[in-house]
Amino acid sequence: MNKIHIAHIFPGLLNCSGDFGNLKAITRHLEDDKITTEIHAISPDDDFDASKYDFFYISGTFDYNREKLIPALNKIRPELEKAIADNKTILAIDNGLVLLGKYYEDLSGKRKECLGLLDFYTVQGEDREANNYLFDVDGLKIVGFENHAEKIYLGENLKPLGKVLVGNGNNGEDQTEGVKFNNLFGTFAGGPILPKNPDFCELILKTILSKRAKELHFKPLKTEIAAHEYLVDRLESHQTTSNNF
Amino acid sequence: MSLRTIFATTLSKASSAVLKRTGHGGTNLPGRIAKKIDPNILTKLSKDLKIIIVTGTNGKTTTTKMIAEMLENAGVSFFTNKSGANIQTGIIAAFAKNTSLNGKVKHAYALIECDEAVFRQISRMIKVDTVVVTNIFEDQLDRFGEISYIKNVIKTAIENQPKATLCLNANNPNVIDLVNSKSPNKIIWFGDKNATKTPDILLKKIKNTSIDNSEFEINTKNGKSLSINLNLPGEYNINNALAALAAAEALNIKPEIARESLKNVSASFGRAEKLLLKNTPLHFFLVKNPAGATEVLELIESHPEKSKLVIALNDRIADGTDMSWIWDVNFEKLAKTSAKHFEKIYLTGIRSAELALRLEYAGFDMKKIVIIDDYDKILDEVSKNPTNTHILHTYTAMFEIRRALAEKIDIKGFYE
Repeated sequence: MNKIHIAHIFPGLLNCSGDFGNLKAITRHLEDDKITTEIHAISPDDDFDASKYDFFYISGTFDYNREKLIPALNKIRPELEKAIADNKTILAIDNGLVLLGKYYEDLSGKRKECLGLLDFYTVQGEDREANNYLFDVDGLKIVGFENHAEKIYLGENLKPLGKVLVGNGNNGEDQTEGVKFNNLFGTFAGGPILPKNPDFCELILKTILSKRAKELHFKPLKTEIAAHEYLVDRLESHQTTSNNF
Repeated sequence: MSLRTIFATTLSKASSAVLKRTGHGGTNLPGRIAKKIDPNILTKLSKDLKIIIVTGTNGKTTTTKMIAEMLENAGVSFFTNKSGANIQTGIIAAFAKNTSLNGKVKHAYALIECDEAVFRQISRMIKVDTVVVTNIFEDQLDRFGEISYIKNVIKTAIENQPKATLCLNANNPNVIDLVNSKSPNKIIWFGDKNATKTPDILLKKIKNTSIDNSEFEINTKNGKSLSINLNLPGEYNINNALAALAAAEALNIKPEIARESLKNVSASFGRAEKLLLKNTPLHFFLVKNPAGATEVLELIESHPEKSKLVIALNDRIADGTDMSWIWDVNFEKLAKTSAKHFEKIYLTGIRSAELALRLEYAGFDMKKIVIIDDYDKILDEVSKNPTNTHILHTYTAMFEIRRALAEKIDIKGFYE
């Protein structure tokens, strides 16, 4: 079948702002190349079979959803584990990424066990970092907006997605941003990330299609390139936010 | 007053006067000075006044203006803080300005437009008579993080004011969550038939709307039916009027006086404000979050006469630095009718490139869209013909457009 099937995990709970743009970037660029797509909204009560899908989108969430989400995600944990081992393409963002780690530690030091699918842990920070930032992924410059107080620390078995050039990244200490494991791309970048990073969007799409033995003729929009270049230029002159008024 | 308070008050008054004379809109500096000298100044300056607080995500400025009009027409002496000065230091400056140096207050009421987080701060310092919460929506992601934060700060503030009368939006679940059966406050609910709480001020029917005003019918608390002509456009302004009518109820202002006030109320700075450039009407709309922007777009869409659209997007701290909110605004709906509706669409401001990207994704015809950095050039272009020009702007963009416009026409200053 020609169709690319996208699993949008728990859109009712994992629904931080701007994520509509990420899914739109995926579908419009595939459809521009005559590849049809279908987005499947997966809810916690559904039977979930990861083998049916080519791409998994796990968005961010609000802190108060964390309690509900851990048991719900644990129900589909075996399928997510299969998807990761099977080199399926997964994009996990912000709190959605955090829940895939080993544990989350709050300000009082109390630890909550998370899915343990990836070798990192999370510690709640005191201050929320909210600013535009720039990081490098294998030579690609990626711009986004980071907005999180959580800090993640990667274990030995886990590579970061990229290196922070301007901004804070995973923890503001070790210059790492996000995670990369098999074809799972994890990042804190909101914005949303894909529309304004056409090269990165192309990378994600090619990764998806590689498992379907399909080629992609990717055509970035002029507006995508312009939005990307504006932020890269601004961040490279070390301006994460506009001047005070 | 103590010597310290007198000194603080004097400095606040003096710096206010200097700033006004030099043409700066900076209404927060005087308060900052005062607070540094006397940290308890707000408690002292406010103790002899009845205080009305207007807070919420959208509609604070407009609702405050409506209540001001009502108090004025009812002959109640009051002062209010200037638009944009809704943080603690701006509020202090307003109190200082309206207190004489021998400690006497010149008015009976203080009508204060108050940012949500600031309400919590000052709720520990002052005694509030009436609280109006217009609505609670997702807003200022960089500052507030998430909506539960906004709910919590307002809830805490209300818990600090058990004697205050609350005017609350019965259609907004987040506002309803602010109180429960144990709340000691007197509550006046406002809303329409779809509200989950029975409104005391009930919107029965919207009779008529235009790009400039609207007509609707309400039931007051004692069941009296009232027909209201509102001098502002859009359903969102009808909601603001309901909030103001609830406040009128709380303040014992006669419904007839409230009605007359809404008929005559003029738009606030940048909030559905209409100005004329040569023969072209310019309509200004402040946008800052998905709920507010989507409502403005719906208003524009519901009046599809041929017009021009200008969107000015900045991301300075006062605008909100996290631009992702524009991806939650329903541009897709407006895109469907945009070909017939708009002669041209101008994008400007610091983040015009992001906006162009958003609009292309929404399905707009990009041939109709042009990015122009220069406000002068845009104003010259749009005033070439007399069709309506709708200008959506973030907070600091509002000042920039106004500055450019002030060189072409005579308009009041920022702080009026």
